[in-house]
Amino acid sequence: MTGPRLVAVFGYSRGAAEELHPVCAARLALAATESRPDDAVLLTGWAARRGSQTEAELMARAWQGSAASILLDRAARTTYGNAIGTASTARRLGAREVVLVTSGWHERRASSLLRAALRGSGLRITLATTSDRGSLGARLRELVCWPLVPALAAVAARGR
Amino acid sequence: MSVIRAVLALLAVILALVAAGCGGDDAEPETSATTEWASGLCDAVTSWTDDLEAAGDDLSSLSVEALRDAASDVDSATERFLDDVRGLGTPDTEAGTEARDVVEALADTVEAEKQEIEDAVDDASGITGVTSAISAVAASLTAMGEAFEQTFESLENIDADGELEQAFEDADSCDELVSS
Repeated sequence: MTGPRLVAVFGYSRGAAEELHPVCAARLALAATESRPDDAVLLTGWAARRGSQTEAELMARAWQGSAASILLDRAARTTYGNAIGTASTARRLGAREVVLVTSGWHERRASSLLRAALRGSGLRITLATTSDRGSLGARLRELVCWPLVPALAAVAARGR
Repeated sequence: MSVIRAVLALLAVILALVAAGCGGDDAEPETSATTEWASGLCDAVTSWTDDLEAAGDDLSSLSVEALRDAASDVDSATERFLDDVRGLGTPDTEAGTEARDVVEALADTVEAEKQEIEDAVDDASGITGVTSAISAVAASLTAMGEAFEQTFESLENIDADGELEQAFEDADSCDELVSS
C-alpha cells in the first residue's frame, strides 16, 4: 500500500469538560512527537455530556504536531468505537500503516480491538503508548471491560 | 559456680529478648477494621472480574447458546459481587458514611446494568441478534467500568486523611489491583 501513515489518537475524558483531561493531553503530546508532515492524524472520541465539546474537538484545538491532514471522529463512545472508526478511516485513506496512540494501561484492550477491526487488511499496526500508570479506577475499568474483548473482536472482524 | 553464673546470664538474655519482643512470637499483626473493609472490596472486585473474564472466554463462538451461557455466568457472578459489596458496611474512617454511600451507588449502577444485559440477551436470536446483544452487553460493561472509575475517584476525593488509601495499601488482597 502506498497511502499515508495514519496516526490515531484514542481520546479520554471524565464527564463534561472544556479542557483536555491530563491523560488525553499526554496521549496527544506523544502523538505530536510521533507524527510526520505527510501523516494523516485521526483524533477520536465523543463528548460524554450533550452540549460539551467532544474529545476529538478538544484534541484538535490543542494539537501542536505536524500532519498533512487532521481528521476528527466525534462519534466514538467507547474503545470499540475508536477502533472501528480508525479501521474504517484507514481503509478509506488506503493507509499503509496505523500508529495507535494511547495510554500504556489502555493498550491491551485498544490494540486487541484495532487488530481485530483491521484483520485481513494487511495493514501494519504500530503502538505508541504513554508511560503513565493510570489511576486505580482507570485500571479497574480496564479489568471490567476486558472480558468482552474476545467477543467484540469477533464482531469487529466479522463486520469489516 | 561459673556454670550457675552462665545459666543466669543466659536466662537474663532470654528474658531481655522476650521483653523486647524478639522471642519468636508468631502472633499475626492486628488488622484494622478499615483494612478489612478495603480487603473485602478488593476481594469482591477481583473475584467478580475473574468470573467475568471466564464468562467472556465462552463468547468467541458468537452463538445464541454461548451468549446465554456467558450471560448466565455473568448474572451469577454479579449477584455474588453485589452481595459481597453490600455486605461491606461502613468503613471506620472520618468519611466512612460517604464511602459507604459511594460504594452503594456503585452497586446500584452495576445492578441496573446487569438487568440491561439480561434484557439484551433475552431478546437475542440469530447471528444478527447475537451481534446486537454483544454490543449492548459491551455498552453495559463500559458503563460498569466507568462506574468503577468514578467510585475510586470519589473515594480518593473524600479520603482527606488518606485513611482509605492506607487501608488499600495494607490489604493483601488489594496488591494485585493497586500494583497492576
